[in-house]
Amino acid sequence: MPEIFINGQAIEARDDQTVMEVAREHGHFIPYFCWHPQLSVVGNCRMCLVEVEGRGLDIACNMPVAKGMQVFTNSEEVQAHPKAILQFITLNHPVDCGICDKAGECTLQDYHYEYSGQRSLSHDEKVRSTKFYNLSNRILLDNERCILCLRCTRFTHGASRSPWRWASSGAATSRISARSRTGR
Amino acid sequence: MHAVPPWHRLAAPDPRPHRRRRRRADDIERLYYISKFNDGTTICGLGDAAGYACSGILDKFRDEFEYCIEHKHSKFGGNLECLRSS
Repeated sequence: MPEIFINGQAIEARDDQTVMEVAREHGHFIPYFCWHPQLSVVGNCRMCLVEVEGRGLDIACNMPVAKGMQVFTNSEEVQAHPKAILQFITLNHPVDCGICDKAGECTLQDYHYEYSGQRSLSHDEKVRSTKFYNLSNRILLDNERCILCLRCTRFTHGASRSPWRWASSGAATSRISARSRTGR
Repeated sequence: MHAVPPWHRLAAPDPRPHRRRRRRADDIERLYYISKFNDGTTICGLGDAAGYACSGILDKFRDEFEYCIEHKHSKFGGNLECLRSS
């Protein structure tokens, strides 16, 4: 049962826990997009960065606890990153909150307000993608608004065993798609 | 037209007029900012390294970038100049 320190508070953690789980259990807020308590860890959103004394910044969702580690979730360096990460995440995001169903209950919006997020820095046109994509007969996906957290693909791969895939035809043109015809 | 050209058409020249050579005054600081926050926020270290290369060239050749922003053309006409040390 290693003891770790989060923002100076001593916490007793279990051996198999990650810093993200420990922090959430004890009320410390760490922002995240791609993490889910019941899904596999991917660490692709990079929002859950925390500072570990002696090791610098690293993601909390994939960080196993170690005895005596000092974790800071609100240091200056940690607080500077979410704003920039949000700019990168919304690089090709249409930001059409006015017509989006998720407006008002959207963590992307919430974090923008929380961390004074700004628009992406690119002056180029945003990359377009499929906006009314039928993932199944019940789910309609807007691939432009998708930030590729891959929660849906991890769920279908791990839990429901249905075949949604992450089509990585290119970094900027990646999108979620249904099963391909070859069945892979 | 695609903002990112499809792979199979990369061999063909881009028929759009060059609209991307906009040298803005804040470009250097913007590139430093992007390079700095790319570090540690990617899955693969190649993402960090892209920022290192960018901030490296900005460190070493900052005067040429500033000249290009101010005068709208390259300082040495696009040539690589090796100045003989005196």
